[in-house]
Amino acid sequence: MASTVPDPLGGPADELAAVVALRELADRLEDAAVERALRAGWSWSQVAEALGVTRQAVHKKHLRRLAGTDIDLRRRNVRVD
Amino acid sequence: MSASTDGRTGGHQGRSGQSIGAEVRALVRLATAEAERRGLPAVEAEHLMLALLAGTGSTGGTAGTGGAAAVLAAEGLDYDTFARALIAERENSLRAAGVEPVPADRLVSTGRQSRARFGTSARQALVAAHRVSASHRRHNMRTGDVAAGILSSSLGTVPRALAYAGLDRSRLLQAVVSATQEA
Repeated sequence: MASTVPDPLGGPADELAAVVALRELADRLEDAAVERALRAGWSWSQVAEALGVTRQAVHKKHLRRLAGTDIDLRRRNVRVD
Repeated sequence: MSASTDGRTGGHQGRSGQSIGAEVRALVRLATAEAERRGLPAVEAEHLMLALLAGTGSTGGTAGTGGAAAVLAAEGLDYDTFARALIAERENSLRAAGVEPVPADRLVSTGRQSRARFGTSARQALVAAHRVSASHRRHNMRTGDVAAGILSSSLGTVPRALAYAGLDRSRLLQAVVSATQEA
């Protein structure tokens, strides 16, 4: 195994960087998509079902950041403290 | 170590017993804001670099050892250049997986309320900065040491972005280290 430092561009470096970029993109897409769905009138349960996760998981990840917005979350049977 | 802890407490002691001075604490606060402004959950090395380069403008002179930001700017690395290079890096990385970049307006969302945590690359940059600072037998870690710490990493987002910007990481590192030694 060569001990030389690999180039930061090309080959495996590009493939590994793609993983980083995709994870970041997926996180940002989720934040935006969940918010748009709720604004469009989707319930938390529907968002959770579409994402393939539990409603509790969606709450835990997104409720706090969206509680301060103009989205009416109370109609969706979610207690906002 | 968390960004909020580093950013709020005074006299934080690093693993080498050195103190992170006010200069670096301010840098960490700025880096945290850079990450949060981008809607990201973690502060990474690239955000420390953005924070460091922000000092080239009206706040010039506050950047540590003889002005690490000024040294980097003289080598062609300023805030705007690096910010553009980071975007190019992410776009090119996505294309490596056959994914076209998503338009920015599709990614707009309400920001998180919680503070961004300190990511691995940022943590490693500060550990490397401690080593640089300790090698000069200084009590306080300075922004110049952080610049050297960030630039000492040869793989990952920062070196890729620098390469896409057409900048030589080793040359930037040498310039920062030289300025640090002169200070």
